[in-house]
Amino acid sequence: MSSSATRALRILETVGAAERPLGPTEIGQSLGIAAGTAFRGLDALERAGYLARFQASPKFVLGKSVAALRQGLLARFPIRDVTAPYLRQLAFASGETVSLTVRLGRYGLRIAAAPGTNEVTSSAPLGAVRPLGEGCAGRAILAFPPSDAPDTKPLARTLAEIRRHGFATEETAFARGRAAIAFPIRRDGQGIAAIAIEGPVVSLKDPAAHDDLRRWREIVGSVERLAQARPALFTGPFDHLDPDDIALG
Amino acid sequence: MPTVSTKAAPATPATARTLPRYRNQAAQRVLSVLSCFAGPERDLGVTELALRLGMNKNMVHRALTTLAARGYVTRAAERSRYQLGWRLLTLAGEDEAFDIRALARPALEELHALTAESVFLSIIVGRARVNVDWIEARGRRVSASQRGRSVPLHCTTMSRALLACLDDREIAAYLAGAAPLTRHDEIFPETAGMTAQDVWDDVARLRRDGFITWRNPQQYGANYIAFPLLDGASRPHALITVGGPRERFGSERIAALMAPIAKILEPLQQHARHVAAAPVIVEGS
Repeated sequence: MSSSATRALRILETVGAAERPLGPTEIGQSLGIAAGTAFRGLDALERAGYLARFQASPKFVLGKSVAALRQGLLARFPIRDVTAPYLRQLAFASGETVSLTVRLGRYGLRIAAAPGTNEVTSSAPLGAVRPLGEGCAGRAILAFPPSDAPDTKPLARTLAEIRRHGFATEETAFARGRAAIAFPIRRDGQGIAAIAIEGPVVSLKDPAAHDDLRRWREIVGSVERLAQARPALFTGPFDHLDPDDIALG
Repeated sequence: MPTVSTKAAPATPATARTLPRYRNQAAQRVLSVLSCFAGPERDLGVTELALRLGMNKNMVHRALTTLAARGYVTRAAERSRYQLGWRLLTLAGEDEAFDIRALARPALEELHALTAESVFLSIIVGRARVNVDWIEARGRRVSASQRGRSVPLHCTTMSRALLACLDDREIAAYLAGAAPLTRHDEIFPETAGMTAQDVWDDVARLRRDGFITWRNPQQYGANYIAFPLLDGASRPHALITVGGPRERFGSERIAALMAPIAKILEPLQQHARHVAAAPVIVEGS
């Protein structure tokens, strides 16, 4: 297919990754193409509903077609609905935003979240993707790999610690010495997802000292028992693919 | 980047009226193919797509190859067919998930303002009730328990009011798994001597009236009234409870408050009916 089609898809990805509405000039600069060329791609995307004008300006945001396709795809992850009450319980118990990350090839995909109840909470957007080796949620999954997993030697010590404690931590940028915490959801010993409490809830030096850790473990333990008892509810639409075929570059 | 809600696409988009028509047929073809995956079918074959779009199979195949190269579609489990790919999930969007807590919060505030008593929002998590929001009254009042605490679905009337929203098969499965029902009687004294019939009696009461009132024997003098929030298939989203000391919140006052409480809850109940409740799985959890 022609490069104009690929270009349109790359424009869509650029707008989808931006934190604010983008215009043809910014998109052209980002992709190394002329603004006029970018405009033709934008025009096709707008006509098909994939992009929409931001408040009638010459800048663009994602449109209804993207939302419809995303919703259809998200509906194919029954794990989102099944874990929703548990995420809410944890969010209320901890006050922080609690998220669900699932394995997507060699990446972790943040696929659901329950907002925290504290005055200040923050979190990555739904759909945020990170390599499994980065961040506490991905590492909690990676610590319990399937037999065909690639070499995780560089992280061997970290992953062994996660296996020993049953959780992973990640220092928060805004509260030094404090960390977010993620618990793996395992089925037959393999990490299939992780539930993360995203705020600075534990001490980085001694996370196990937190008074509520046992309670949090119990809640995630209930999800793990469900994963074992009802495996069909913990499947995803890409489980049949080779993990290496999922390239998010 | 948030998506925006726009009105249904007009036959002639605004851009087409105000801007010159740019011919970008290859991009339009690819996007048309991608849009076909928004329908109810989970996967589609080349022939079906070609028929639907009036394109030849070669064009469709090339469009699918372009989309697959960037992860917008991928081979389905049945290798000759295609399904949506992972790329769409990575285009950052807001969580469109239904948040019962955010939705119910204004009603909780209104109920608290109306009654000046404590109000609670509870959901089912596995085999337990969990209060996920509340507003406490001042002075002598009904107090909330520990944040996020789980209470088994047969212990306390508030829990049984949620249990009553499940179907008979689920309630029977829950009760079978919870036997003996007296096992938590040290923490929940009202379960001492409890039988399955006692639970079924509460179930029948809530189903008959659409709400349930009770006096908690553990908390001397406290009265409660609770209303379920159900989806269109009568599955439970949550339970809203108002509770207060008997000297303020007696049966006469509760009766007088029924109509204004119902008026506050009506729009919330309407909204809740339009969204499917999260699945409740009492077995194996």
